[in-house]
Amino acid sequence: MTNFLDNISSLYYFQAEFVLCFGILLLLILSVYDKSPDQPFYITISVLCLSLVATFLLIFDQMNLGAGFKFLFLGSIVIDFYANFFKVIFLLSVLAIILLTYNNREVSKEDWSEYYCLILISTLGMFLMSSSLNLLMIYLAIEMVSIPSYMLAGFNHDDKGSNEASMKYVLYGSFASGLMLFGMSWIYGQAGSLYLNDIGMYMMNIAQFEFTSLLSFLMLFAGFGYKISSAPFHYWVPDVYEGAPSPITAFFAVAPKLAGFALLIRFLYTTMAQLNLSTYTVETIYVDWNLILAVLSAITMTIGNILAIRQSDVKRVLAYSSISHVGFIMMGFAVVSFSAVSHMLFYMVMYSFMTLGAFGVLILLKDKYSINSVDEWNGVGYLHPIVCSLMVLNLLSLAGLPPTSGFVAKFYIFASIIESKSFYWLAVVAILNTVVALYYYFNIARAMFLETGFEHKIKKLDVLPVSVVVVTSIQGILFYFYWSGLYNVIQRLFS
Amino acid sequence: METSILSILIFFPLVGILGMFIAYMLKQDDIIYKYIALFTTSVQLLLTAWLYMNFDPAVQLSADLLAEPVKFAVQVPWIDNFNIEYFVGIDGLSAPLVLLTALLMFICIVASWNISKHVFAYFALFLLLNTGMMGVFLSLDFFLFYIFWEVMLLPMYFLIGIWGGPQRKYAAIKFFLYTLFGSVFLLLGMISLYYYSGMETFNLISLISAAPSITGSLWGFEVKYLIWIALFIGFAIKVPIFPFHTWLPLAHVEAPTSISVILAGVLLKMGTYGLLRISYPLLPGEVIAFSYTLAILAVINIIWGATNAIAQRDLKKMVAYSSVSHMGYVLLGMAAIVSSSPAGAQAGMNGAVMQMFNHGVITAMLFLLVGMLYDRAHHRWIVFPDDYEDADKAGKMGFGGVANKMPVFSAFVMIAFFAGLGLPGLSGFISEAFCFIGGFTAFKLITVIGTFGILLNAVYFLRAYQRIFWGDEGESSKDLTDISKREISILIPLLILVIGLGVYPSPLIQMVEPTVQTIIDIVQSAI
Repeated sequence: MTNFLDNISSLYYFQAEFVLCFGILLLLILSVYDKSPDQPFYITISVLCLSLVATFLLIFDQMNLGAGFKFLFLGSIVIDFYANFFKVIFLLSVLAIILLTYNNREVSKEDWSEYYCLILISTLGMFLMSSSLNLLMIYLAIEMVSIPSYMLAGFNHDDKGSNEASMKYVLYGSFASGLMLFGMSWIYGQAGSLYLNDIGMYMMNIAQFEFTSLLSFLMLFAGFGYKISSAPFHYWVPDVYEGAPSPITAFFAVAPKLAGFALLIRFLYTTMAQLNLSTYTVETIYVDWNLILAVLSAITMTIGNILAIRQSDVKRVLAYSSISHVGFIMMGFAVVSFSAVSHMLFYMVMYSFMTLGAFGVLILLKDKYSINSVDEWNGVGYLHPIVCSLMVLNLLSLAGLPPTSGFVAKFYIFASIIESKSFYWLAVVAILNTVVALYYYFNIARAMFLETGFEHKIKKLDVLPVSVVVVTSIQGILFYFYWSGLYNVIQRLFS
Repeated sequence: METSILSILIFFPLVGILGMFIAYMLKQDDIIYKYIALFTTSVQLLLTAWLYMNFDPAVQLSADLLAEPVKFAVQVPWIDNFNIEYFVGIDGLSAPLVLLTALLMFICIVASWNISKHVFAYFALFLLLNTGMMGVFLSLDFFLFYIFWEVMLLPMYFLIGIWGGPQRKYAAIKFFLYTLFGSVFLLLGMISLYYYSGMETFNLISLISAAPSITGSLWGFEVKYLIWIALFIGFAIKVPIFPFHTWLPLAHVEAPTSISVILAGVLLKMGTYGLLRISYPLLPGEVIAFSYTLAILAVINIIWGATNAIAQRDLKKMVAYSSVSHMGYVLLGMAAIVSSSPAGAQAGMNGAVMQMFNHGVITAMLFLLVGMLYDRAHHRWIVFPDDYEDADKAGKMGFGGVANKMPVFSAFVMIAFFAGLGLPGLSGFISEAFCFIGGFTAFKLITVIGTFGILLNAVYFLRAYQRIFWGDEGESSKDLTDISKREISILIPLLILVIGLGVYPSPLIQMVEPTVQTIIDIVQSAI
């Protein structure tokens, strides 16, 4: 009976998710009756905004109550500032994607309600990913994000590339989640519980080395790594990103990746790290996962950058660049401390802005002129000077050069490495990677402004997507105004 | 006015860009951008003139302005949780370079009056560059310094890449990658200083007292030494110090005239300025340990740059290599800081700082003159290369007899060349002599080898002058017309500086001497 009451009382804290569920059902029902394309668009926008409001209400509620967190549904879900922070990022980035898709030819208007519905389901899954505390719940959440993603990747039904992308995504995805499930069953076998806190207790108490713990951790990481596209689980990324319709590629590059990180950070810090209350520091327990992740981080960023140089398709360049950025974010795992995590979160926020900005320009131009390869971008800068200047700003930010937000993000990550006074080799690898990355980012800038000969006639760009591009790109320099504020918010997540 | 002038100097160009953007939105004629840029830089020039009038050479920057206010300096907390400050100030080290920047910026805007391709973008990027350079010379917070340091790369990339010569795309990305390679090491050094110093601050003045106490070792080296190396790579690429100089000839040659002026006149000085502002006071022990190597590198720079310049057939490339050689003098003067004789150290360091200013003026003049010749003849070969596209001309003299056609121009070139080769009575001589005097007290043999550089400089300058201006009238010289009033007017201020500081250098010496003495004291105390 208490279980039942607990479940009922938990529902109140689930309002943001409820709004999303309601929106999903509404879209499904309406798609049967009404085929007008604009209606689902407005419904989705309002659902996302409502959910955002609900999330903020919850945050204020918690702040007033003073309690940092609350366990829901018998402890399998937690509502805390950390989860809410990620929820806000998910909602904003999905909102940006929806606005960018407006009038896009790659997503046909007849399928709009279906498209929005899938994106919302995926968003719901990401909400759960950022707040799960139970291995089973984690698995369900990941699948809830993945399965709509498979369908979204193949959304351009008549395009072979899109179908191929979907197929590859399914095969990789199911293999990775199978491995992860296997790893989970091993962990359950050892710890006797599916709750992350219990697993953490077990890990703390084991006295001698057990190979199985390491192996099950590695298998779990296959699932997480595939979601965040870290090496060696990154092979699906370029093909899927290239084949999928551009707005969906932008979606893949931001929200699900951040959800993967949200989950990975929570998992590692709950199960494999111990908070030392006297000094308020965290230490790894039992498995040196920070060393493993540092090595993977170096491999990921290097692979992403080296392979990006050879790409001729702008979308593939951005795909590899997103892999290398994952490597950079993972540098934060080398140091086990809350400040390192805050630096990672800061990086993620800035990463989502600059990636959305860069993809936004790509979506706009590809939609109007059907240009794919870098050579086809030659001289486009002189047709759309403002949008393309914003693209340069985003590229600058992605490359991590001052005075943009990308630099400050990178600066924080480097700072956390050097603060720990270990893993210097990782800092050197990362630094060399920054230089390599500049080459391929500015290859795009070169095509836009240094080359000439864009042969298409100028077309007018839609206001809605352009405004998204303007907002996401301009923040690359305007973030100075709220930099301190954002950093303080992030730091408060852990206190 | 006193507290805000430095910020106005830094950010006024951004206001100019904003004005240009408004004009762009209103779809104004192209000429308006030129006037906005001209207005912005002339205001800046007037402000620096005012600054010069009110400048007190004896000013010593202090780490905490609340406790100890310093004229013109501003210190505002910026990012609290990382102790980053908006901290700007001016002293004898930065003052000449700020003056130089404002002057060259103004001259370059006038010199690029003929630009007709993408006018808005050109002048907007130029002003952005201006902000970056002013910021570097005035920042006293390492983080702020780094941001301005990097802000310059982007406008430079586009200015070379869009308005440059035939190989501009390659030159632009090579410049960008090289300098970024250096700056990332600078970044590592910066963060290491922040954490290892134990102060958790980027304040360059507080770090002077904190940085020497850094201990610890890494990979078998002392951490302090590694930080020095990281900073040195960052600055050396900018100077450029052999073997990091290969980006320079290409970038200088491919860039449009005004950009070459800025590159050689201001950007190169940033490397040596960075060493003097950051590496020298913060890591004095390492400076001493490294000084012998620095002196050797300096002499390699002098000889290498000069011999390369002799081999060049392209006049602009020759001037570019002469910059490499002349920056070697600066380095030699800087290395002399370890000299056991106080007068020697003073002479070397004063010479280095003065040479930074003087070389900026002389090289600006040289590049402007080369640009003027190129505008008329559309080539700048001293001797046509053997594989020249026009087989008749291959291997022949490029010009000849220009002095008859362009007497005024020839006179200017003569003075500029003589200043470049260090003729007494012109500004280059004073600073070069100081550098060698300082160098000789510390490193006798190396300096003696270095003095051959003076001879080599004379070789290429005089030979080029002879080949271009004297002799029979070449084919390219036939249609040349003498320089216009606008062109004369931009050369006159530089000419005045070259002759004026050559005859009466003490205003410059007085400006830099007290600050230089402070740096010498800091470094010498670590011996």
